Amino acid sequence: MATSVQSAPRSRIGQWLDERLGLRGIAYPVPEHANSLPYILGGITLTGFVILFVTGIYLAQFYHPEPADAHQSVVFLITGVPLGDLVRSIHFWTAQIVTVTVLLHMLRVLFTGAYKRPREINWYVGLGLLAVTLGLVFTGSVLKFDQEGLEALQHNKEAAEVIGALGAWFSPEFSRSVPLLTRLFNGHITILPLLFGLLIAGHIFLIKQHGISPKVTPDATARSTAGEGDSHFSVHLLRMIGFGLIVFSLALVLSLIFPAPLGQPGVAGAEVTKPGWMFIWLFPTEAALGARALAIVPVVLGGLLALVPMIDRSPYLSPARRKGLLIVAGLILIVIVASGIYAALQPVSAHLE
Amino acid sequence: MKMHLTLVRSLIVLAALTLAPVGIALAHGEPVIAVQPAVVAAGGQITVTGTEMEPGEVFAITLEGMSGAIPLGEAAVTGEGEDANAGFTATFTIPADTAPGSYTVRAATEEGESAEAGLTVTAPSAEASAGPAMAQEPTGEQHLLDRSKPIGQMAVVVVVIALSAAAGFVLVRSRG
Repeated sequence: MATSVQSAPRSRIGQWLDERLGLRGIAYPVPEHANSLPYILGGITLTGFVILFVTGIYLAQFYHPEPADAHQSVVFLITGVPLGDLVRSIHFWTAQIVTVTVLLHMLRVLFTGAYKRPREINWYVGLGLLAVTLGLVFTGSVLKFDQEGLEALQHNKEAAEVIGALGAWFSPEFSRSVPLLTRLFNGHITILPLLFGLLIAGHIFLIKQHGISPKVTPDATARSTAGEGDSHFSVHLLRMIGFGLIVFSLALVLSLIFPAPLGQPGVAGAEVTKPGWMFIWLFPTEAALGARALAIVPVVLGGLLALVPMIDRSPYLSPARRKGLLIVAGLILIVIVASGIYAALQPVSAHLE
Repeated sequence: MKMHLTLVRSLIVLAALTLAPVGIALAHGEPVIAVQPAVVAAGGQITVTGTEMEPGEVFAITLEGMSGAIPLGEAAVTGEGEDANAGFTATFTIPADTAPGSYTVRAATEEGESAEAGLTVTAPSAEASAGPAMAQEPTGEQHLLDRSKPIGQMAVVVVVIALSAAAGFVLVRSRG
């Protein structure tokens, strides 16, 4: 049932701004459950990205994307730039938090069936956003060009060779005049943020178009809820900003206690480090299958996620009515987590060929 | 119908092109080389270490870049019999007139065995012409830097944390 919530702003400043910006337009109805934490994870991720953009712009003023200077410029950022170490650490920790929230957001959508008709396209846009997020994390981890970064770059080259023509951009041979590190930096600060901007605009537009997916009850079915709800988007937005401020505080605390790591300058061809937690689960598969695992496993997982709306076509949202799909998804998740824990506990081993 | 067939054929060709190199990159036990340092000035020296090779093999070492391949020299694999850990360590000089840029160091035998590693060459430097570059040991250790912060900065950050968290909790609990 639609509820009229477009009340006039109470304060004078509010009235002044509303007259010029039409702020009442964002007070459209949304369901009350949209303001609960599981349904606000996407919004938390978005505010995390705002922090990443702001801190990233600052870091880009001092980072030198040439292989010969990259590591030293990061050292300078830490030791010689005002607030450089702090800003870099906030960037690092916010990226970790955002990766967690984006994965939890995806799991929430999967668990509550929020990908069902008419929201299938938005599920694919979300998968694109997940890929862009992981791309940003990966390129960011290479940029520091320490031993871990260089090894990530070498794995990147091997995975690029495996996927043949599609991996051409990721190979050094693509452009002999610009080092791969420099191109990955360009990807990190231009191509991927541009893709992110386009996808997030589409994601938000489609959420507005279809409304927040209905609350999960035993008999709830997927349908458009645009214009329905007892709460309003301005409340949702304030909560989103509130959680964003809490994320910022958390990133600051972590930055003070555990400044963002930086290893020794990289030595090409060596393999003595492990990747970040979001990629380490691939290592056991890589040990078994070689570099092709780095390209094939993510593609297979992405493909399975893409198949979800096609496989699960019933209108019901309740997990009890979707046991088969959720059990398979849970098993895959357990394998990924177990694989990551196993890789983390193992001594470093060479995978590069 | 004809258009449909053409589309299917195109997809098959595209899939074949995409997956074609898979077989090449599979085998473990292929020769491996490491190049130290990863970044060197033109005129400087690099140390190439080869592993997982057969004793007696001779590898030609080349520097491949935008302008073609530059031969750096040869390296013979040491070891005896069926030594699975045979390899070589050899030092080569990057020609002083090498253009700065991104290169691949390739080690290849006449039989077609090959291994490669990336190398970035920078403009010549006084240090490079003075003598060989120090080969650095690869390590996963952290770069030790003074990361202590002034007490004033710490105090401001703590205040910002408190204010940001407080504002966050107020907004989260807000009813609009």
